[in-house]
Amino acid sequence: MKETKIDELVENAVEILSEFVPAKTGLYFPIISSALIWLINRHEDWKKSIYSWQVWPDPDFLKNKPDEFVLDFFIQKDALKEYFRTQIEARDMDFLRNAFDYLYPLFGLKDPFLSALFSEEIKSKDFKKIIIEFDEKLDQAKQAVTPLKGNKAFAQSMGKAIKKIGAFCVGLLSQEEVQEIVAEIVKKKIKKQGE
Amino acid sequence: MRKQNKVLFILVLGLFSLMSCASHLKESKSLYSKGSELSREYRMEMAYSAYKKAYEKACLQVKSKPSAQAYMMKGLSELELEMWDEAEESFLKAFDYGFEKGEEWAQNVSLFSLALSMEKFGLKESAADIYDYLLSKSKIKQVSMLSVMRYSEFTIAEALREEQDERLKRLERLSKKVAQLTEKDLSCGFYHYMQSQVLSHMKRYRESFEEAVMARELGLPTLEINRDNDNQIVFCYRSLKDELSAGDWKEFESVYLGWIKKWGWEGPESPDWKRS
Repeated sequence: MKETKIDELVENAVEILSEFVPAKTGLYFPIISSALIWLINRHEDWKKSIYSWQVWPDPDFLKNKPDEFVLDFFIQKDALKEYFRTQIEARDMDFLRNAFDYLYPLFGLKDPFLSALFSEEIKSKDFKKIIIEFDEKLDQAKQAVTPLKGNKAFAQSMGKAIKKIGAFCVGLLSQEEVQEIVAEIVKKKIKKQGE
Repeated sequence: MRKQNKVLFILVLGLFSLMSCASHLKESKSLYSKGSELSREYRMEMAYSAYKKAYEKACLQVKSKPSAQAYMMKGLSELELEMWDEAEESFLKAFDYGFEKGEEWAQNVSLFSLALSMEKFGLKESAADIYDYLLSKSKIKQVSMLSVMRYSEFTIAEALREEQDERLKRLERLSKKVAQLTEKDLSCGFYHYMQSQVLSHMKRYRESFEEAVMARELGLPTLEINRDNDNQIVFCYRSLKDELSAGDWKEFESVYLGWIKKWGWEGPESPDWKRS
């Protein structure tokens, strides 16, 4: 039941987005996904929150963390612990700090937009690729999304599409579940558009 | 009769124009307040839009009936939109029209803008000196907050390169500076967040936890900072678990569980936004 509703929601959202975002820019997924995740986090006042989602993170938090905090971040996530085992054991803080700068917004702060932007890499646990491609990919995304920031018509259209569904069912899903469902639908949609 | 009508028309027009001027300023003020409110609720896009509208209304007011208040509103909105040069100019104009602090405000914004440029060109130490001055001296809260953030980043980065003793000395000095800000403005969650971060570098986890709780309760300026602060709370919980004696831990745990219940967390290490 809830998947049908999400399907419908995403179908609508993609339709609307095609008017604002050039097809095949690869931005359908992060935009829709981050909008939906805002709904999950704020499902109590979803009508208002749909206008407020951030399309990319402002680097506002204090970046310099203690070594212990950085290590704890890598140790607490099994996938990261496994991937960076050598550096953790050697306490290679220069290496880990550099990786932390890129991975913390994704895995520590669960930024919806970045999580969606790097969803393929997260799924395949290709953390090296995230680190290498982070700046370039984020810059491209920012340039493509900038015209949407503050675009009232876009926000209103998105709001309308989501209103049809009802927030309560979205509130039952987790960020990961939404991302997975959205990824599948958007992939199909883009493939269809390309045919 | 026709002449009388003409006079009446001009009078009504004048009155209407006056009312419309007053309403631009009123609207600008109300939009600015709305922007601040939305910003506190992490609705940044809506807040940005409100500040932009407040700016537009202030521009209209400045054009039709310039005054110290109109320029003040224009300058404040420009600050929120990060239009540093324009804000500086507006505060200077506000000073010209009788707002006594206008000149000082303009100087604060100008200095902040200068520090940003210096940082961009790699002159980090000089930029840090300016941030240091502004964090305690600036009368504008936004400038104070941005300065303390940038100064802390610089000082912590420097401290991390030092040996333990020197590192602690530098962090202690930074902690004192941030403490002064919290004392000056007890209700600002952001300063408590900064203090919590600095104390964590000093391994004073219990105090760091208390500051982070205070920050959460008072509210933080962005969603990222709020989440980062939650991570700090969880990190303190884990660190104290290893560090405290059984008795102290029991006491701490009961306080901790009380807070997370209030915040609706699923468990001690699962903030609401990390739902699995």
